[in-house]
Amino acid sequence: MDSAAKARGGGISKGRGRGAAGRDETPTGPGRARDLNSEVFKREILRHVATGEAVPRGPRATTGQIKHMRDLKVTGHKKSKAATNEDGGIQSLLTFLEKKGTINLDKRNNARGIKGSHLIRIIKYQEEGDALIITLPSDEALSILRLDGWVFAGANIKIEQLSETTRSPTPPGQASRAENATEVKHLLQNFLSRRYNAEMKLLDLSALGSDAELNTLGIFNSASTQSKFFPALMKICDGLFKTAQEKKDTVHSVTLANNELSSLAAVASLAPTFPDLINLDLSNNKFPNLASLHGWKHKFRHLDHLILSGNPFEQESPDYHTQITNWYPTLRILNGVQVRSNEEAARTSKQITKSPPPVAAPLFHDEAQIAETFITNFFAGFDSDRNALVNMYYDADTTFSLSVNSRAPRDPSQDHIKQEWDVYIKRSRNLKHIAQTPARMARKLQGQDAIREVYNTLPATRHPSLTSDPQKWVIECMHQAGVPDPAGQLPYGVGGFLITIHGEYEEINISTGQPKHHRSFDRTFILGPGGATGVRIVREMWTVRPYGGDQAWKVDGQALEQEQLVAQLSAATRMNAAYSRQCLEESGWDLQRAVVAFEGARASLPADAFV
Amino acid sequence: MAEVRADILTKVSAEVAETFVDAYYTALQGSRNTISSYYTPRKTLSDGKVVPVIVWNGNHIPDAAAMQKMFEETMPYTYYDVQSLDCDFVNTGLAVQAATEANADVVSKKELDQHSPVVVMRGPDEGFSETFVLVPNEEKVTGKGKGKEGRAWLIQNQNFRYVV
Repeated sequence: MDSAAKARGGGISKGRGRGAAGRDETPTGPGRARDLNSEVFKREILRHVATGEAVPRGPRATTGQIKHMRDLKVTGHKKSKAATNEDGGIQSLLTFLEKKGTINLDKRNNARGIKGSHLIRIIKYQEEGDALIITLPSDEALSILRLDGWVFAGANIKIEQLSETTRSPTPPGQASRAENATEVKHLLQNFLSRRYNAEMKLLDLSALGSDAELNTLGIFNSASTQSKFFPALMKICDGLFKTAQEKKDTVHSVTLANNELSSLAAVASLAPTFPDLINLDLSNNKFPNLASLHGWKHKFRHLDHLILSGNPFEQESPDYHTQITNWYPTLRILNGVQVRSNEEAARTSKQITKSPPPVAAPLFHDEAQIAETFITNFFAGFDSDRNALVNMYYDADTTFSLSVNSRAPRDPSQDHIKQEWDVYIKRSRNLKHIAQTPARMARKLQGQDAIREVYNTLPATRHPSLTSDPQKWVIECMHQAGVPDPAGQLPYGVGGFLITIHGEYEEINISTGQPKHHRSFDRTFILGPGGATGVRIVREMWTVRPYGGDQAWKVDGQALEQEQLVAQLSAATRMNAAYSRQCLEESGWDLQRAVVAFEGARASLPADAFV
Repeated sequence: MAEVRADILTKVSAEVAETFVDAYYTALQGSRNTISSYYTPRKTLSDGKVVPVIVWNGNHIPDAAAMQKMFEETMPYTYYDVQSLDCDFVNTGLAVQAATEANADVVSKKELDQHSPVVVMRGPDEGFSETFVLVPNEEKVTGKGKGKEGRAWLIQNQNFRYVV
C-alpha cells in the first residue's frame, strides 16, 4: 500500500535526489497556483539556506572558532613515495588532500546549486606517530573523508574521523559554551542545507535517527540533546526567513517519515514554524492511534497532500481516512489517493485566503464646499450654542432622532468605566428596543422647537478639533437624490447630500469645565436646500455609544497599495482577485514579476481562476 | 390628496426598515448570490448623478454586481448582530404616495451593531455603522421590466464603516 500509493499519487517523495516526484506529479488543482514563480524562490532558498551569511563559507578564519570543527586521522601515507621527502611527505599529503577535497566539496556544492569554488586549506594539523591528525570545518572534513582509500603517491591512504571522545577536551568555561552554541547553530544550518531540496521545495526530515552526521555528533545519544534537536532546528528555520510569506514560498513539503514517532511531542514545533505546508509525510512512524495526531488537527490549514501510511493506527482504525479528510478542509490527497475533488478543495482553500477590502480614506463628494461648511459650523455650534445652531440649520420639517447603543463594542481601555445613559435613554429611538408605534412616534422629533428642547436637555459636549485632530473623525459625503423641495414644486425632490460622520466627544460638566464621559457617536444627516442659510437639515439621526476609539477607520496604506496592485494585475491578466492576490504574494508584490509568473503558469491555471 | 396619518407613516417606514435589515444581513451571511437583488439598477438621474452609490469602508463600489462579487470572492464569512436601528421617510411628500400607492419614495435608515467576521485579523468583534437610503422598486410598481418580480424596496445609497 505504502509504496504503491506513493508511486501513484506522488506527493512527498522520500529521500533526496529521487527526481521531480511529488507535487509535480499530482494533478495541479484549482486554487493552487503556488508554483507560479519557482525559479525565483529557488534562488531565494539557496541564498538563505545554503550560502551567504546564514552559513558562512568564506575563507576560514585562523582565529576565532566559528565553525564546527572535526578531527580526521589520516594513515597509510608513510608507505607512499612521498614519505622519503624531507618533511616525511606531509606537505605533499596536505596539498593532495586540499586539492582533491576541494574538488569533492565543489561537486557537492554544485549539486546543491552553489556556484563557484571554495578552496580547502588545512591549517591545523599534527603528527601522531604514523598518523596525521587534521582539523577542519565539518563540511570540508566530509569532503576529505571521501578520499578514504584513495591512492596517494603509490600508497592507499586511510582517512577516518576521530570520535568526540578522542578529541582533545575543550577547556571548560564560559567561552567554550558560547563556542559550542555557535557550533551547534552552524551544524543545524549545515544539516538544513543538506536536507533541503530546492527543486521540490522539500525539507526532508525523514529518518533522522540514521543520519550519519547527526549520529557522529551524538545528537541522539542522550535524551536531552534529542529533545532539543528538533525545536532548535525549527528555530533555525524561522531565523532563515525574513517573512512568513518567504517561508511559505520556500518550503512546500516536509517529510518526517521513518522517525519512529509515537507522538507529536518531539516534532510539535513544526506546526508553528511551517503553518502553510502543502504536503506532509508522516509515514512509517509509530503513531498508535488518531488521538496521537490530535495536536495537529487544527494546524496546517492549507494541507493538500498527507501521507500517514505505515503507522500502527491503520490497523486500529481502518476508517481513519474520513476523519482525517474532515480535519483538513483543503486536503485533496491522502496516502496518494484522492479524497476530495479539486473543485471542492479549491473552494475551501479560497475561503481561507479571503480577506475583505482594506479600510480606505473617507469618500467625500462635496459641491461648492456646502457639506464642508455645514460640518464645520454644525459641530462648533453644537458645542457652543445649540440654540443658534437650531435657528441656522433646522426648520419646521426637520426630523431628529437619537438612539443609544449601550451594547456596542468599546475601546478595551474603557472597559472598567461605568457608562451612564439615563440622560439619553429616555429619548432613544433604537427600534431594536422601542417596539410600540406610539413610542416610536414620540421619539422622533420634528421642527425647531421640539429639537431645541431636546438639545437643551442633553449634556454639554466638546468634540475634538476637526483641523488639529482629524484622525478622530471619519466624515463621508455623497449625493442624495429625492430630497424634499422646499418650494414644493418638485414632488420627486431635489438633489442634496447624505453625510455620515463617526467620531467622539466628551461630556462636560458646565460648572467645573471638567469632562465627565467619553462617548463615541455616529451621525447621519440628509442635507437639502432651504432654511436660513440656504442649507437645511432634512433628516438627522444620531447614535450614541460607549467610547470605541478611532482605530477602526485608520487607513491601511500598505493594504491599499496591495489592493491597487491586485486590481492592476487582474486587469492585465484577467485573473480574478483571489488568484491575482496570490500571484502577487508569491512575487513579492512586484507587478512585473507577477506578470512574468502569470505568463509562465497561465496554461496550468483552472478556468475559474479568471474573471 | 388626503394627508396620511403620522402613525401610518411610522409603521410603514419601520416595517420596511426592519424587513430590509433582516433580509439584507442574512444575505450577506448566507446567500451572497442574492446580494445584487437588493440594489436599484445602475442608472443616471436627470441631474447627471449615478445611482446606486455604494461606499464600503471608504471603497467606492461601482454597482450591485461589484458589491456581490466583493462579498462572494473576497469577504470571509461574516456574522451580523444588529444592535441598533432607526429609520424615517426622507421625503414625506412622496411618502404620502408611498403609503397609498407605493410609488417613488426614499427611506433612510441606519443601524449600529456588531460585525464579527470569523477570519478577519482585526479582532473577533468589530462595531460597524451603516446607513441605507431605500427607494421603491419602480419596475415592481409598474409591473414592467426585469425587476418586476424583485424586492419592493431597493438600495439607492449605502455607506458602511467599521467604527470600533
